Amino acid sequence: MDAALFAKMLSDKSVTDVTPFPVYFIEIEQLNAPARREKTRADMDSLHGGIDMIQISRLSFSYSRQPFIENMSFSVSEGEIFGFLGPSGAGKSTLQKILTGQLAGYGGTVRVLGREVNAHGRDFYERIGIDFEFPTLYEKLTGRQNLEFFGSLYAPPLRDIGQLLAGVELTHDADKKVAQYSRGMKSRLGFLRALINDPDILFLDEPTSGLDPANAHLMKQMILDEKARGKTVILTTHNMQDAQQLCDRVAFIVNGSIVALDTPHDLILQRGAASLRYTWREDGAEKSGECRLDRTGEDAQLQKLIAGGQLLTVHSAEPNLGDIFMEVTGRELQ
Amino acid sequence: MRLLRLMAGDIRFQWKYGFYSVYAVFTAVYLMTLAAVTESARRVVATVMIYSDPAAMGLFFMGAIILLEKSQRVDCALATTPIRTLEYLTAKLISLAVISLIVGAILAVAGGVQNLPLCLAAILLASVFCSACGLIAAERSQSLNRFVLWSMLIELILCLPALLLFGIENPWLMLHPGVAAVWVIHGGAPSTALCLLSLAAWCVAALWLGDRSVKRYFAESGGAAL
Repeated sequence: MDAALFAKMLSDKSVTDVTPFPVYFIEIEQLNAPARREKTRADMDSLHGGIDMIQISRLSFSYSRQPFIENMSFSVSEGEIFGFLGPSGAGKSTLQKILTGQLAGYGGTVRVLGREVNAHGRDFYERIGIDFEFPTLYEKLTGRQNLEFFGSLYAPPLRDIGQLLAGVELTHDADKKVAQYSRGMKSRLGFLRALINDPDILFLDEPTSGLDPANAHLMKQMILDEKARGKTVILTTHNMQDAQQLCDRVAFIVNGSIVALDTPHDLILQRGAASLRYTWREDGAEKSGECRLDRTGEDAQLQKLIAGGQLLTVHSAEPNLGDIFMEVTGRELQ
Repeated sequence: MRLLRLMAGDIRFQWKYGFYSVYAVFTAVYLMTLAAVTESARRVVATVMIYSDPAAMGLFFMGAIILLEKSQRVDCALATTPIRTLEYLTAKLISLAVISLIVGAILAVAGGVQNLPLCLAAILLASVFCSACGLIAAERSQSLNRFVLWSMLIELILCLPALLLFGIENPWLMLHPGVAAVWVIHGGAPSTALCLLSLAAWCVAALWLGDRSVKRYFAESGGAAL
């Protein structure tokens, strides 16, 4: 961005009128919004106010005498992508196994698809799909044969295998044995296996783990496509970029407890202070400075540079979800 | 219908992993051996082969299937489909029993077994019992070595009294599944009906334990253990 124009914007103090720069306009307006509504507990529990696909109240679980999951409460609405974000061993996978009916013996209430999860019969699995972090496929069968076999275990109607394969660019490799597939191909096929029964809720465990950027991008697009089809997605990850890009809301899980729950955007805005980084040239060398975005008027150096027209570059910078996680929990995600 | 589809999947899995080729080779070797032994010894040799291979090999093949599933982690995927544990167990037992019956029938005919229908009934029950034992052992084994240890222990219990049968003919031995099976296959049991009843009772017990094992297998799939 042109530094002189930005300096004019700051000195005019009328940034909301600057329409040619929509990115800055949005960021600054949101930060300055004085009347931002306080969130209620109900807002936190359910984003869209739609049908709750998952309702958890005071969930506790333990593998031993020591509690592993303690007093968790939240709900997930239909069509929402909800992320469990936390380091390894935080309790994310255990939580997912409780939600998918694989672990009984929990305390509290866990309602999935309108019914206590441990009261569901095996037909529960007709309505959910689970994509594990690792490949769960028959290596000696082809990709198509894997989908046909797993599809045969569900009641119709099923998703069209040809269309599914085409959607993830596996049509030409569909008749190869899975043992010949790359990691990315196996991940895509595993994702299709979870979709074959057209589930209402999709549970994804580290869906982009071990994928190259191109395959990770494709996987994320597939997840968004499912959301667009109205599916509810539960994303378990320690990848903050995935969570930030995909999730409507995220829950930070540490030591079996939810320590924060909100939209990625609001978590960032509530916890982190956006900053302004700027550079100028002095004595033949390039120098840089930084101040909080809401206190640019108090930064004497910046004001001096603006007045003198000496700014070289100006950038706004917000903390990412990983920074916020670190701030909230004191731990790193990866 | 889902049971049939599961069975079809199991048979395809066994085919792809060469189980049928192994059986074909073993059958050919057994037939050549039967052709080489004397007429008087043929029925006894055939009985030992029928019991030890088609009936008791289910123990090892079932173990191999479960360990292969674990290694490819398809147990996680299967555990989260609508299939019921008894369907999963039954499909596997029947798919292996079909091979046992085919090979057993070939050997029984070649070995001059007296009563083929009774022999096949004993093979079916012995196959179900041994395969269920294989599943129980494999479910409890996290490695091939542990499974081999478990299966050797089971095999010892199953085979030892059956060998004693040739010298000791105590009617109480009918309560032992191995003895009961061998007695029906070979003929000359004190009570064929009691032998089959004993085998059937062992099968029911093995199925019950097998179903519990599959439930645990499904619950523990994916890493978490209770």
